[in-house]
Amino acid sequence: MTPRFTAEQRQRLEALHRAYLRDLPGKLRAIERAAASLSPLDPEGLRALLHLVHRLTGSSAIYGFDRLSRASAALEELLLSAAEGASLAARGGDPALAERLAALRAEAASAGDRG
Amino acid sequence: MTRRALHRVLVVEDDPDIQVVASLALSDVGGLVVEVCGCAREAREAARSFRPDLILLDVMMPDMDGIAVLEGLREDEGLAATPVVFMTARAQSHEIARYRALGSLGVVAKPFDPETLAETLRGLWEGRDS
Repeated sequence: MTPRFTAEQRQRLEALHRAYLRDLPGKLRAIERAAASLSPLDPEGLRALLHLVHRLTGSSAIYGFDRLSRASAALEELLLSAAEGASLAARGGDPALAERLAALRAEAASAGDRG
Repeated sequence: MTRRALHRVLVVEDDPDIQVVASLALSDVGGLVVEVCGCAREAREAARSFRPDLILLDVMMPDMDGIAVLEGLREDEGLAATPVVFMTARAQSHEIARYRALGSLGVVAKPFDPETLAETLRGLWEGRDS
């Protein structure tokens, strides 16, 4: 039989959900900062950004923000290609990067509104 | 012969937001004894001291990936036989086959369902060697 949350466990999960939403703007700011400071000469910066975005992709899905997770996964995919040497080459001003960051920002704002 | 039930799980996951949900799912909901390790490089030491029945291991971590952690565990005489279940958002069939070939007991897809995570691990635990 599939276990079900008790009322207390559900309350704890809802509290975690609220805390996640509270922290979401900070996660976005960290991603934006890391993206703004990308440089082709700094592969570590790209790896750090990829890590932040990867975390957001996974955690937002677990907390039920599916659209935010998909937007984050799209950005992650682009960064993975860059990390593997694709043409993005870690340029902070890359149009594809800017577009996916904007989509991520919009979904984060929307998640905040729904939460 | 009755098999010993799954009791102790070490979760190796770097993201605190996921750690807390995994702990709730395995400990509060699943009734398991859970230890969380947030750093892949410390996983071997954490496993040595906690002595888990099973290790739930994130694949993509910043300091070291899950596959390298698994290789390290397999080199350790005391931990070589401890079953490892990978957690990953990339759980397509060829990737699952690769993780199985590396010696993992199974794969939990992210996002996991907190209500059934413990049940999933128990199923893998009970089905091992079968």
